[in-house]
Amino acid sequence: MEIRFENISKRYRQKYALRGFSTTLSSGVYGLLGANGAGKTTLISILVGLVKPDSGTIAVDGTDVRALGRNFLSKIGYLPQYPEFYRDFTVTDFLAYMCALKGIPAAEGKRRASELLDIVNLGNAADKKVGALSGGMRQRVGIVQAMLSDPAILILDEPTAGLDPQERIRFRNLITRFSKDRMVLLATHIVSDVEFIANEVIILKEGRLICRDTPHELERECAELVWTVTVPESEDLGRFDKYNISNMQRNDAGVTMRIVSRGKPHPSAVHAEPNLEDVFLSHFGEVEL
Amino acid sequence: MRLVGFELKKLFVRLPVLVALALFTVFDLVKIHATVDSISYLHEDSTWNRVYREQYENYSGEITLDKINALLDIYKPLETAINDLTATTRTDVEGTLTGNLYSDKNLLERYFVDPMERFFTYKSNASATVNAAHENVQFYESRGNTYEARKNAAIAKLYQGRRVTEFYYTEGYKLYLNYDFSAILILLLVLYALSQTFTRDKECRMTELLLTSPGGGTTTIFAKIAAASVYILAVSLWFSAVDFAGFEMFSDLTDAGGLPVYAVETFREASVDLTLFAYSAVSALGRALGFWALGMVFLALGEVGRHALLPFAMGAGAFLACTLAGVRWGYSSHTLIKVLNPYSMLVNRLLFGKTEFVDIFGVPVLTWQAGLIYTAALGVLAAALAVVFGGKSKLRKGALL
Repeated sequence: MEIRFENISKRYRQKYALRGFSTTLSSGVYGLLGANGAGKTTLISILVGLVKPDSGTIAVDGTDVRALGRNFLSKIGYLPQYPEFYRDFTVTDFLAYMCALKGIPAAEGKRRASELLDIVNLGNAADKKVGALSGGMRQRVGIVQAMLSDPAILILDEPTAGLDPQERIRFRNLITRFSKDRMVLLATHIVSDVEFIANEVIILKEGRLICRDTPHELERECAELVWTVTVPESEDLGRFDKYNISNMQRNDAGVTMRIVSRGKPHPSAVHAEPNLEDVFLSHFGEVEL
Repeated sequence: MRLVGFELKKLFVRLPVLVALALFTVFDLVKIHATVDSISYLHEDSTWNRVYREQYENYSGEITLDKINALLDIYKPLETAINDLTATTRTDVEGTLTGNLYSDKNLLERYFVDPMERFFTYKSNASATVNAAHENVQFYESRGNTYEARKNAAIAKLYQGRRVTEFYYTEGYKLYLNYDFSAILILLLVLYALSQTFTRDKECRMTELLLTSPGGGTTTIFAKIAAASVYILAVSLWFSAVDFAGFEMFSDLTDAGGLPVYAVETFREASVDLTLFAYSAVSALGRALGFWALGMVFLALGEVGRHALLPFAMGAGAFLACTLAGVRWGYSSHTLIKVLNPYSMLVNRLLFGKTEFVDIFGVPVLTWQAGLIYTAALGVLAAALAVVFGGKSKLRKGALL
């Protein structure tokens, strides 16, 4: 399966939420990274049909999604941002309702829901009311409902919001297991969500696609920008305000900083192994590189 | 069908709705008791009740000259004595029914003489109406007034053969057929539940999921409309049943169920020829249809606003306007206004209780017939608008569905 975005633009009043977005996605996990307001949710909303683009087309295997209509919807599983669901439904009832909406036969839906609930460690909460679930549990229910129909395309908007570290790891493993021969589009501003599982990362900034590559390649490209430096406590730390500092740690030697910068930030600074967070900071840091 | 079941569960089979339904049922029964208690003189354990029951044994059933004469034999001397101002006001007079002559006269007059006379003379009054209608037909035909000629022909046909041949206690039905309190309770339940039909999805941030599911667009809207229809009909018919059971319990409806509806004083000019029991069922169905139509209007309004308060306020406002119009014109001769006001189908004695017509392209149509057709059409139109509004709001948002 292939999804081709062709010159997609969307403007709200005078501000572009998305501008000339073009790319092609096939199977694999895609991490859609960007700061808040970068256009991630707009792109996803356009893809799932919630928002009409001002210009551009989206084609699935060469066919415009507008022509596919409901056939396209039956291929996707979607988790929107901040879902709440019906508070007085039990988890089981809610998932049965979603099965009905997706046209999944009741018996098959029940079996599938049970399997997925076990996978996301919610087997014991099946009879709980949705309103009684924690934010993280509700998010996991959202992930389950998105995967109910075993969709060819899984679209997740900020899926790990509210999940604790263990749940995040579980979620990442679930996505990796699920992604075989499927397409997963995962929009987030939490870099670690995609760092280990994304085959490719798409970075959006102010509505534009600024880069797309494998995490490894993106990291390699910013290898020259990442520095680490340890300065004594007595040194004025204010002089580093002009740099993007990705991490600071006090230790016996003083203060160790991880800095993303084009130039050497300190005579004693040395290059460090870059990670995706550094890549993110190189694009979205407070200080323009 | 699965979606309809879920919509029912999601919107209506909820604790607040069920609690309100239970509480309102109790309120309704209390109100029925209070209504009977305040209007009827036949309170439990009262002297009138005891005397009435004794006398009822003598006069109920087929109306015969013997029964009429026997009744008048008791009543006439009382009437004469009271008119002559020779009757004593003592309350322990021996040989009387209640101990007091005035009380005897009033009881017999209210519960036996007047209704018996009305029943007995109904046939001749109906015949007179038929004859007058026939004369009118000839008159209007001679004047070339086709509409009035048709109308009078319809009246003649409707009143032909009307008669009341049996005497039974009809006060219970009179109270029951004029009882409207439960309509307010139904309205509140309908408004409360329906105003959330669409806004609940928005409040729960479910709209995105609904719109991106294959069955989440128009299919869901149809499911909501079907579920709302089931709920409205169920609630309306439930309260009609509670009303009937309440009046049966606190008054009595059983005996008179087989009498024609025009045996009830306020339905002398009824535009239907049904038994009281059958009319009760028809009236309940008509009221359910009226609430269904209003419910569909509420649903269409429910697309407005993100929270339930606005549609609730708009629905309540619309109902208040209909009620005020109903109070203002419900008993007037403005038959078209009556027909066009959904309130008339909720309080449908306005349509069934009097033989009135509306002119539909020169054809006289009974107001209840026009009302039924109009109300059904209004409901269908409002449901269609709910679908269109629902669809439009989605089209505004999206492009691909």
